[in-house]
Amino acid sequence: MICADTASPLLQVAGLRKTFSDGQVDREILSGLDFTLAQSEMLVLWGPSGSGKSTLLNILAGVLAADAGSVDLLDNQGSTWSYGQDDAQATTRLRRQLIGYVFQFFNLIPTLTVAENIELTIKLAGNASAGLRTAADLREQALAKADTLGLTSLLDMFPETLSGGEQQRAALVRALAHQPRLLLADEPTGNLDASNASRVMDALTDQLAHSGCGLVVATHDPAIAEQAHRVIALPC
Amino acid sequence: MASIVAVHQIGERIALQLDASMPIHLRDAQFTASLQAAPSAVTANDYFRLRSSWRRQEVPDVTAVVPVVHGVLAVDLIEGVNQSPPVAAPVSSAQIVGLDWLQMLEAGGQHLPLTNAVGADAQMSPPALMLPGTTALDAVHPALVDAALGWVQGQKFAAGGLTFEVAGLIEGGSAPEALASVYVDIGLAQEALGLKPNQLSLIAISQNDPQAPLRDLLEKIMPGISSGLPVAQAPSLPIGWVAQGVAEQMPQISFGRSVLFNLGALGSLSLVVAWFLIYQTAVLWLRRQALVYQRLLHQGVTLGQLRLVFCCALLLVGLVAGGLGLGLGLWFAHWLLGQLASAVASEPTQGLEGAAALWDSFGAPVVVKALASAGLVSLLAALVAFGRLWQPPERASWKLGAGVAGLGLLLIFGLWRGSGLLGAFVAIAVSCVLVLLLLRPLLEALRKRAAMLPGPLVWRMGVRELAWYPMDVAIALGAMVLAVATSVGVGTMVDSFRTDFDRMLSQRLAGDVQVRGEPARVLPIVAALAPEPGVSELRQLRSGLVNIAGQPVQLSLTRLDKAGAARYGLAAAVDPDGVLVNEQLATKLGLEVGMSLRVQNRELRIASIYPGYGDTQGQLVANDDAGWQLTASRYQLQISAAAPQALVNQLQQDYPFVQVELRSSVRALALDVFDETFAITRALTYTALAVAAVGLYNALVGLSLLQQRSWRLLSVMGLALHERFGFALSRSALIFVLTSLLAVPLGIAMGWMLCHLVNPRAFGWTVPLSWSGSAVWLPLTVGAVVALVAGLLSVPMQNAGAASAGDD
Ligand SMILES: Nc1ncnc2c1ncn2[C@@H]1O[C@H](COP(=O)(O)OP(=O)(O)OP(=O)(O)O)[C@@H](O)[C@H]1O
Ligand SMILES: [Mg+2]
Repeated sequence: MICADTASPLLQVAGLRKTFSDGQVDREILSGLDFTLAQSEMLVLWGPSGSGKSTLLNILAGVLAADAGSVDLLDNQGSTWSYGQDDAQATTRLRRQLIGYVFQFFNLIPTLTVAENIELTIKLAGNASAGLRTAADLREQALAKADTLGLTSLLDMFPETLSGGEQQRAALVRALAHQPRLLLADEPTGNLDASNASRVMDALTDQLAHSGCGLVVATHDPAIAEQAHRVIALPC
Repeated sequence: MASIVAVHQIGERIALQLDASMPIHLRDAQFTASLQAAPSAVTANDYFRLRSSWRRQEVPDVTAVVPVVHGVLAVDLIEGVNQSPPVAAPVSSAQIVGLDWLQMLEAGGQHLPLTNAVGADAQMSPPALMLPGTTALDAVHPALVDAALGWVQGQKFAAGGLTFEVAGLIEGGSAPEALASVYVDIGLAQEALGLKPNQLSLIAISQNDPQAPLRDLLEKIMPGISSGLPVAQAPSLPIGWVAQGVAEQMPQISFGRSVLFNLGALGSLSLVVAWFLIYQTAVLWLRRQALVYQRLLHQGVTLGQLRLVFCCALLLVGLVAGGLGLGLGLWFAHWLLGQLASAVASEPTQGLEGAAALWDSFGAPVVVKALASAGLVSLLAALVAFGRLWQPPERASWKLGAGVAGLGLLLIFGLWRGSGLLGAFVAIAVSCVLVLLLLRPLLEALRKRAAMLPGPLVWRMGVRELAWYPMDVAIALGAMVLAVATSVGVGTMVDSFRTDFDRMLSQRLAGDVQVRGEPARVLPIVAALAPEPGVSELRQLRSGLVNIAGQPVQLSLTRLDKAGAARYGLAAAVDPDGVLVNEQLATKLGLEVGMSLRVQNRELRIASIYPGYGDTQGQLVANDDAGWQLTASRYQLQISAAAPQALVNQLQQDYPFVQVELRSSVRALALDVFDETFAITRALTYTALAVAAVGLYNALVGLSLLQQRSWRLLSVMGLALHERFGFALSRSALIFVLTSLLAVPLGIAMGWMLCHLVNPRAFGWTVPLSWSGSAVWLPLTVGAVVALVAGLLSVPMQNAGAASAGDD
């Protein structure tokens, strides 16, 4: 297990509220959520279906605006990005440079090859990405990661020709390609067999250790929860 | 549907106008009879011989034989009945038509030429029996007059030294620009016109045409279509006689028909595009319903029931669309005609101004046509889409190959002259299908090579997206290609027609001043102008009918020196024994340059075959000399003068019964009429483009639906709005490139086929292909805008958060 560096919090979430209303009924999904995440820390969101795990991840990713509260993310040059109630338009740069997102499935653009999917992430991050690394560095690291995940021979193939496990490993390389500060994973192993699942989780934790980023995983899998530094249980 | 209805309404309007430009007394006659030996000279004796053999039943199927005398005369209104001053505007000349008055009375005013005489039977009394040349000068003779003159019953008028009284009015609905007609007894007409006592102008023949009802029905369904059908068989007259179609003798009518025919063909084009559109809708709809249908199937609903429900639903959509299209189409036709009326405001008498009268022709045929075609199109689309969903067609390359080979054979068949007009249209249709067939393989090939595509990633994504869903895209692209190609094809055809027409006008209108009229009226002008110092050149042209191989042919006689030959596009003068033959006659008789041709006992050599734009008859042009014995029916002068306008003014004043015009005004008017006629055609092709635009938008929105998850992922990855538009732009760019690549060659091929296959086969003359850039770039620009707008509009604007509502 990797030790989290609790001294410098990477992510600070305070008083997060989100209510969805479908016509007449208002349902409060998040009611004043507070937590922090340290560098290299892995946090698991645990809760029954419909408890708001994906909703929280979307807010952390900046694609969904909360009704109240704040999210502060520290980048590796020491500046803090504050969002939480901003709309998706305002957080485009945040998502390009600081966030890596892995879904349960459909993580790759079907009309791009695996290599192009990875390249797209690097391109979108731009030169300012992570402040220190050039695109060439990022590309080199991504290819190395792809190699360790056994993807080298599949780089020029289109996603639909890959197996589910291969797709998810490729998705992981894509999500990590720009060396994000915050990794978000929504049931990343939900579709995978045990061996693929452990390969994916290993790659994720490996990234934590080496880059100092933070990881938030939504899951129903107790095995993953066991690996976490902390588990936040969302009430139904 | 709107454009189909609009085409129908406008077509019907043009058809009415064409009918109106036919003189009233010839409307019920399909043929005229003339003597083989002397086509221009028919006498009363000839008529009696023909009539007696008809009465002896030697001429089957002919229902009437009518002698006619006609010519233009000055008329003067003498007095009004009980109003002063007379309400009618002063009329200077009218077409005097002489008919057999007694024969008409026998039939109670309902006889052949005058079936629509109003009040005639009440007022008509038999004229005193007259022998030619014995007419009492002070007698008043009955006449039926065209209601367009504005005269009333009982008014008296003078013409050709005789006095007539209006005995009845004829509601002819004649074309506004045509001379009004006055119908009198044949003997009186001969006398008034100064003809020899037994000379006739023509013998009209009415025939029992068993195909007429079918023709009328087809014409109601698609105005103009009958002009593309084979003409009625001419009656077999006794030996020595030839029959000639009345319509064939009126070039303006056949030109109009050619336009009408094209309009009709265009009308069906929008139906094809509509089919694409509905088919696509059906496919999208089915795709959304597929899961529901699957469940229903599992619960015991049969496939047949599902198909029935689906087809009924689409049929309903089609019928509603047909109804809406009907209203919109009426409005559209109204608007188009209004546009044209204002575009040619200087010439308000073109008759198209009667936009308000559109409702007149609004009837059951157009309603049935709109609803039936809408219903059929949607039903067909539903059936095909349904069939393909449950049994996706097997795609074997040998099948495609066999199909292409079959179509290639059909194309060759269509190009072969003997396949006729039908073959020409088969050739056009087959080339369209061939190009459409290419679309899917093209997209699939693109997909195969997708990994090698260079360029920015966003652009690669946009381009590949099209190749990823070849079926959806091929349909939308097909509609687009078809619409742009037709637009290019029709534009090319119109350009070619116009260039050809323009060149013909430049060649034939040689002098500054054009004079036309009856020989007796024009000849004095020649004598008067000869000594004028301001007149530098005076070209005379006379023409009349001669008989070539049993056919009446128009022979024009003029001086074929260098300038005279240039009128027919030749570089050098024609030998004295040379003759020029127009394309129509050459095709009909298989003539070639260098062959010899016998005309009136003279052996001539064919010096050239010239393109006879708009001619419907065979025509010959030869050097004029004293040896010809031609009864000229028309005389034409082309005068080059120092002060043309002054000469025109002077001639118009001195010779009121001949037509005197400046070359420039003849030319401008002719081109105006031309542009006006084809403006409709162009407007309609752009309508087809608009329909295709809707189809394309539909397809792109459909694609975006399929791509919803990709969009969400891209949004999470931080794709900015401008990059989304870049993506849409690249997609539109590919659509545009593919459309241009396929539509431009197809369009030019279509233009070529319209000029070289359809026109010669339907109307006998070839139009050389020529195009201005605008025929190509205008539709392409519209196509580009359409692709761009449809592409940009289909970009989802919502962001990932909203899209992720239900999570995977
Ligand atoms: N855009 C939205 N509009 C309305 N309701 C929404 C929206 N997004 C999510 N919800 C609702 O919010 C609740 C929480 O959804 P969420 O997807 O966050 O659950 P979850 O914890 O991820 O569930 P699961 O474990 O099944 O993935 C659900 O009841 C869902 O219906
Ligand atoms: Mg979820």
